[in-house]
Amino acid sequence: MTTSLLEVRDLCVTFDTSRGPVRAVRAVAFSLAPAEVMGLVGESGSGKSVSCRALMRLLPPRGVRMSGVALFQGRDILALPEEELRDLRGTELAMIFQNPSSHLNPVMPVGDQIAEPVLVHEGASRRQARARAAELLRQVGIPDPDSQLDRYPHQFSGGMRQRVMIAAALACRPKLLIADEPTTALDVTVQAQILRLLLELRDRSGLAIVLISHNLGVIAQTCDSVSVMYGGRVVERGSKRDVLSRPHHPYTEALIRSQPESAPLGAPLPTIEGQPPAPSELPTGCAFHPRCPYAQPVCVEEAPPLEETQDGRRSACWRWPELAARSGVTP
Amino acid sequence: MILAGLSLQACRRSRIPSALWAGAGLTLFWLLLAVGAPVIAPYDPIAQDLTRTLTGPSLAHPLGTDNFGRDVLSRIIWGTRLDLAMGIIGVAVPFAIGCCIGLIAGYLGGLAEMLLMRILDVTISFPFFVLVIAIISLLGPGLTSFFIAVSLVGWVSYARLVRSQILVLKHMDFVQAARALGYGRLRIMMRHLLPNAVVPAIVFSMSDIVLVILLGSSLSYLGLGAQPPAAEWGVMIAEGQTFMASAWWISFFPGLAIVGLAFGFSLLGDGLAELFGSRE
Repeated sequence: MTTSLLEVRDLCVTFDTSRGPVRAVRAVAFSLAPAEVMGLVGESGSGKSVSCRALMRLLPPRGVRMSGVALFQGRDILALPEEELRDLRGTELAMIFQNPSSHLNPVMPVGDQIAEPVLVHEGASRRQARARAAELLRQVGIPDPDSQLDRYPHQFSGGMRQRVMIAAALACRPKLLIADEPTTALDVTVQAQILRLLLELRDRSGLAIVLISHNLGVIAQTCDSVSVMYGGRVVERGSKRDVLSRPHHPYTEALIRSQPESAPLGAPLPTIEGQPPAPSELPTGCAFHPRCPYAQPVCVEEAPPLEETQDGRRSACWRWPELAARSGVTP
Repeated sequence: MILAGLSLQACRRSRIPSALWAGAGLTLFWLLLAVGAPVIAPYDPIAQDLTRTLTGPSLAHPLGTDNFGRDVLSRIIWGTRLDLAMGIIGVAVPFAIGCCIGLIAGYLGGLAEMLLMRILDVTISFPFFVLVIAIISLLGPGLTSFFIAVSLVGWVSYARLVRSQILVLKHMDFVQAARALGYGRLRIMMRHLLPNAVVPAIVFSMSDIVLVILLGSSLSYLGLGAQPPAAEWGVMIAEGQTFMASAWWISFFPGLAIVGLAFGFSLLGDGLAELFGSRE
C-alpha cells in the first residue's frame, strides 16, 4: 500500500439538484500501484464516470460537492489549487474518453492537437513538438504519421480518432491514464486493437491505467485488478482472477452470470432482475438488496462495510463467507 | 487557425455557390480599383478646372465633371479607397471587440457575463443610427469620430453572435478534453472555442460591411463623416444635389458606385452563408 501511485479514500460526490442533494458517489476507495491496470466495472449510473471525473477535477464547480482524499504521488488532487492542478493534468495525469469523435477539436489538425500539450507543458519549440507528435502517432500505430499530421479529425475513422486521443493524452508521458470506456464506441476488432495498444504502452513506459468499462470481457482481457461499483459504492475489490472466478459479492456474481458467454447456446440470456437504482432514490441498507437473491432482513436495515475478506480482497456483503465457501459461480 | 477552419468547412462542401463567385469577383474589382487608384484614375480627384465645369459625359470625361470642373470618374475611383476603408475598418474593429466580449461573457459567465450583457442591453436599447449620430456630434464631425462611433455601437451584434455560440460550445466534449490536458482558460478560449465560434460572425460581417458603407456615406452626405473636398461618394452625392436637374451625372454615378459595392459584399455574404449555412 505504501508504494501506491494513487490512493483514493472516502471519495464522495454530491450533486445539488432542485430536488435536493443526490449522492452519486459514496465513500469510494481504491489504490493503484505504478504500471497497474485497474478495471472499474458497473452498470450505467453506478458512479464510475463521476468518480473518475472527480479525480480529474473535471466536474463543474457549481452545484457539486466533493469530499475525501485522492493521494497521487503523495499530493491530494482534490485539495490542489487550480494552477497546480493544471500542471498535473496532461503531464502526470491524463484522461481519454468514450467518444473520440466529439472529444477532438473539429477545426484543428490532429498534429497540432497532439503537439499542443508538449508546447504548453514542456515549452518545446514548434518543430520539436511536431516531431514529437509524429513519433507519438507512430507509437499508437498510425501508419505514415508525417503525412497524417495536417489532417483533420473528420478524415479519420473512429478507431484512428481514439488512437489520436491516446497520443495527445500520452504526449507528456503521464504516469496515470484514466480511460473512460475507451472502446465502447468502437467495433469489436478495433476494440481489441486499442486494448492491446494500452497494454503495450503500459509495458513500455510503466503507465498505470484506470479502465472504466461495463464490459466484463474487456476487463478480463486487460486488467490486473478490479473494483466493482454499484449504487455509487465500491462493492467488491480484488485481483482480476479472484474477483472474476470466485466473486465474494452477489452483484459481481450476477454480473458474471449475465455474460452472454456463460449461458448455454439457445437458452435465453440470464439477466439481473429489476433496474439499477437512480442515485436520487437509493434503497436503504445495502443498495443491491432489492435485486439480491441472498437478501436478508439485515440487508434492508444496514449497509455492509467494505471489509477485507480473504487474501487482501474486499467485499461489501453481510453474507460473503457463504459466497466464498462455494468454489465458483454456479450458473 | 481560423482560415484553416474555414477551408475545412469549405472542403466538406464540394460545390462553391455561384453567389460566392459573383460576390468575390465584384469585391475584387472594387479592391483593385482602390489599390490601383493612382494609376487607373485619369485625373487628379481634387484638381479643379474652372474652364470645364458641369460638362456632361464625353470622351475626355466619361462620367462628366462637377461644378468645380473635377473629373467625376477620377473622384469615384479615388472614393473607392475611402468608402472601402470605412467599411473594412468600421467592421474589423467592432468585430474584434465583439468577439472578445462575447467570448469572455460566454465562457466565464458569472459576474463578468452579467456586467457585459447589461452594457450590451443598454447599447442595443438605443436605435443604431441615433446613437452613432449622437456620438459623432459629441466628438465633432470627421472620419475619426465616425470610426469611434461605429466601434462603440457596432460590437453588440458580434458579441451576441459569438456568445450564443460559446454557450453551446463550452459544454462540448472537446473542451472538457482540453481541460483534462491541463490547458489554461485563455488557451481554451482562443485556440479551441473561438475558431469554432467565429464562422457565423464572419458571415454576418459581410452584410455588416454593406450597412457600414451605407452609413458612412449617408453620414458624409449629412456632413458628419468625410469632409469636402475629399473624394467620398456620399460627399459627392451631397455636392451634386444642387445641380440634380442640370447635371445629374455628378450625383448619379457615385450613387451607382455605392450600389455596386454594396451588391458585391451582399453577394459575398450570401455565398458564405450558403457555404457554411447548412453546417448544423
